[in-house]
Amino acid sequence: MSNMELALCTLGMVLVTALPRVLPVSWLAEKPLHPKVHRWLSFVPAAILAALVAPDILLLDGQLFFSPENIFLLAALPTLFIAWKTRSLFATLAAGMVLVAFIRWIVA
Amino acid sequence: MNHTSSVQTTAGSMPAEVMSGIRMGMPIFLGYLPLGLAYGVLAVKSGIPPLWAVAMSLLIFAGAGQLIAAGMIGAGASVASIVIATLMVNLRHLLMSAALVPYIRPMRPFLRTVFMLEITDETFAVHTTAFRNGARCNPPRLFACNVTAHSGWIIGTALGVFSGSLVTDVRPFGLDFALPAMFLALLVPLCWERLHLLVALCAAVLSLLFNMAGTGRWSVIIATILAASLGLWLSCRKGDLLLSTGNGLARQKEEDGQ
Repeated sequence: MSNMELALCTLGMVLVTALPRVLPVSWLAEKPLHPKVHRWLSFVPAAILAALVAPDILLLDGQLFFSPENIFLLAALPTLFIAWKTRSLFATLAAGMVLVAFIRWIVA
Repeated sequence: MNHTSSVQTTAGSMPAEVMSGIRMGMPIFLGYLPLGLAYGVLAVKSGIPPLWAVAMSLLIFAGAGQLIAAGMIGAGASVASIVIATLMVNLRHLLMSAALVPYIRPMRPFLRTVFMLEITDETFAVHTTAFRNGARCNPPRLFACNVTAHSGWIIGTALGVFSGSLVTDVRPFGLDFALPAMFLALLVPLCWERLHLLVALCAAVLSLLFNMAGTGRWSVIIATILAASLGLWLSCRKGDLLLSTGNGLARQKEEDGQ
């Protein structure tokens, strides 16, 4: 990719990243939200994160990967438990990465 | 360490609010270091100049979008296809931004826009959890949190691009699990009602099904819209709509009157 193309690409990415983030500010900010819209939006955070993480853990090459060889799945269960017990982002992240490194070290 | 305990429900002095915001953003900062490192390594391997890769982290600040773009640049994809792919993975921020708007109404419109520019999956989840726990809309704290998170992403990228030749494989360190682990940690406090847990499970199953059916990057958005609509439908059937939004409006009034 030439420098010109890289610059164009970056400019395009800046725009398509910023627009979805800022458009709702002008659309929604001035008028109060309908209670149903408000309630619908309250489900978005949990739904989005679950939809993001499920394929990371359970899919391999587009297929379900339920097997003891799925290291992410093995690590995800204790990681969820730690997240629930500690409610700490950092502790969960650290524990999850150490678990994955440890399981790989055992398996290797 | 418990990030929900650092939430202040009363307005403090400006330095105290900034410190509180840094504490809110610190776990994200630490999480973004390995993630940014992974992006930095991939970016230089894809032929992006090191400083340019860092500049992209400063200007764009989209983890998944930048990782996908770096991979596509490495694979020789066209500019248009990269920009379209970035747009598709970032469309979910439209929903996040819309969900945050009611909480940040007390800010001036210009500040709202600047605040939203630094909304990522992680800053969104931390702010949502704090607002749910009764945190006020305090600009110094909100911006301190976002800037802390953003610096983690930039510093992580810098570490990645300048150590790219040293780190050949991130897997022995479990670095590739940073993103899933962070999503799990953020998901747990967001399932504050049984109905939200049900919606999350439903979104996970739908996302898996759509992914297997080959809808690719649209899967997350379609699954989220369907699962949130199921949640709303169940809410209406249970008749708890008035109760829950009543609380939301009460909090809104309190903040507006501030």
